[in-house]
Amino acid sequence: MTTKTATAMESAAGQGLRSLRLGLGQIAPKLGDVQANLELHLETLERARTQKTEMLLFPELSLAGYQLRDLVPDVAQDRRSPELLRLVRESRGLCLGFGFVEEAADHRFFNSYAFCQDGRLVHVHRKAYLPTYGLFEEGRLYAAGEHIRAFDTRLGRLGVVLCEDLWHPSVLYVLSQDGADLVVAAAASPLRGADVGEEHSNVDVWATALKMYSQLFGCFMVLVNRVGFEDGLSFWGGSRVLAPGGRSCFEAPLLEAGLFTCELDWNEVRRTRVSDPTLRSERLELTLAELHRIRRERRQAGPSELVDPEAER
Amino acid sequence: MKSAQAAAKGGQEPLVPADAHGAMVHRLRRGYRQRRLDVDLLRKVLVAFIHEEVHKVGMRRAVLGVSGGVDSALVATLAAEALSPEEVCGILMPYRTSNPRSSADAETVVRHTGIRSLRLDISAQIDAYFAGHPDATALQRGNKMARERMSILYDRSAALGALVLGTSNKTELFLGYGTIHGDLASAINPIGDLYKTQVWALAAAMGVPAAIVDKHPTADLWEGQTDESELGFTYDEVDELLHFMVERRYRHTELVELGFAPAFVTRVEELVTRSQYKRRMPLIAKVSGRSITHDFRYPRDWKR
Repeated sequence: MTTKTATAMESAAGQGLRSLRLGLGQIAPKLGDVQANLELHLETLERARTQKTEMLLFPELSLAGYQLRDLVPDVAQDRRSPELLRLVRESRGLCLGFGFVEEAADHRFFNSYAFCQDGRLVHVHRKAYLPTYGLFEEGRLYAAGEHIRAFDTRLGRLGVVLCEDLWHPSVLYVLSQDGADLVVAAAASPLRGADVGEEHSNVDVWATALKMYSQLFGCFMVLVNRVGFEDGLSFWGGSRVLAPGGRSCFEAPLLEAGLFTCELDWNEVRRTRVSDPTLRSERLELTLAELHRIRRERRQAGPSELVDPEAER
Repeated sequence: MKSAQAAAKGGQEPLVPADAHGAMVHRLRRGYRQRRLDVDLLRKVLVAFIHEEVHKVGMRRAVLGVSGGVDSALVATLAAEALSPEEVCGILMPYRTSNPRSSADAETVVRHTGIRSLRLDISAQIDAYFAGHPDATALQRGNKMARERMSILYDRSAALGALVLGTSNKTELFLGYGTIHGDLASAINPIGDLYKTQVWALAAAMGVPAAIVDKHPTADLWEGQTDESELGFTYDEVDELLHFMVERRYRHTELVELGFAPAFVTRVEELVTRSQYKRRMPLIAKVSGRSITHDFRYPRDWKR
């Protein structure tokens, strides 16, 4: 196999295997109780540290709970909030990701995810796509994030998406073009559908999307989803890691709380992109040109197709 | 299992129609019949739901009415697994005209699940009330009985420190086939998102005795009553219609084209619309800036 030869050659050149120990904090946060959730994060963090975890990830809104409604302003964190500062400080010696409600200086609220390393805040992702349909009402609670950016950590170049962001392939496309080798998808996804092999079950959509992105973009895809119940919603957990190329590395059980650990073979990113060089052949300018054309045509089409074009004459 | 039986009875699969439209309809309805519930996943979710919601509010016990029907048998089974049988109390509340078979089946459920039980005959209080209203209709009497049972469950809830478990299934809830503030009342309902045919499937998979799963469902509010004769259609029929109407969002005309009788579709649409009030909290007249149910919107599991 060519892969084997490549690995051997790299080792010879001092480019040996590189592993990454990842911890997935599949927790059940307490709805609207930041103090209790901080304790839960710190306990989990302590356990992760004794296991020599290099990157510990928590789910979406892990510090706040999900179905917050009017609780949003009560649990929001700004730059002075002790709980946020405490968790950032606790990231000494590892990388740490967690979800929280962010209050901006202008008092807009965001569904945000913090990524810290060695006691410093490296990146905050504000959820760009806020689901506001069916049981979801994030559009009436939060402002939408305006950025999709990959960022550098000491472990590699990462991207973060939050739940609904993942259902928009454009978000993953941008992160891929921005150089992400690993994408963290932090989620608070409730179970919808319990038929075997049901095409409408959201668990199935998640599994398909994660696999497809890891195959097409040649990156690690990490889902960290919460468990527990809120007002009858059941969060299904099932956190998982897919290697570049779509191979399943790890799958946590459905519905069970716990700290789950797995090791990634980091050089898989390089190997995959050598054998499937789709990233190399991606044509950013072509995509941009077509997107510009579509935007132009939409504007030219006018405000509503109900208007009779003959009526003005 | 009821739905499997029905499928077996209607055994001879109709031939696939030659025209594209007919073939599509055939495929859609066959797709419905071939669905399989992930019973292992469902069992895990519902057991965990009962466990978490009971413990969240600082309790460890649950109480429910056990009628001898499949709905309460399934909830008793789920609760026994979630909380241990000793922490679950099933209450049998027969009226003097109740079918003895119901009581016998309820006893079977208690024995089979190992839960604690209590038998409270409601004849005395019901008869005392209606002694003053001798011309009350069967419906009035049935509703009064359902509310008497609710009142006992909530009294036992306080006495035992136990949460009241609901036993209404999704089909009944949609059709409004239940008594508001009676059998529809509960603290938490583990099976409210399961259609009757799904209750049958899960109950069978969880080992609820076949005699209970297979019998004709009845509210047993008067002699000889069965759900299906009173409603005028079977659960198999209405669950398939509700599947396309609610879950899959097919519109009236599309439902008729799928082969459901227009009068049946209209009837079920009316039942669902007319009973909406049973599925919601009472309306509050809004006169302030921040009103309960309108814009005071906190989750119920607030800090739980």
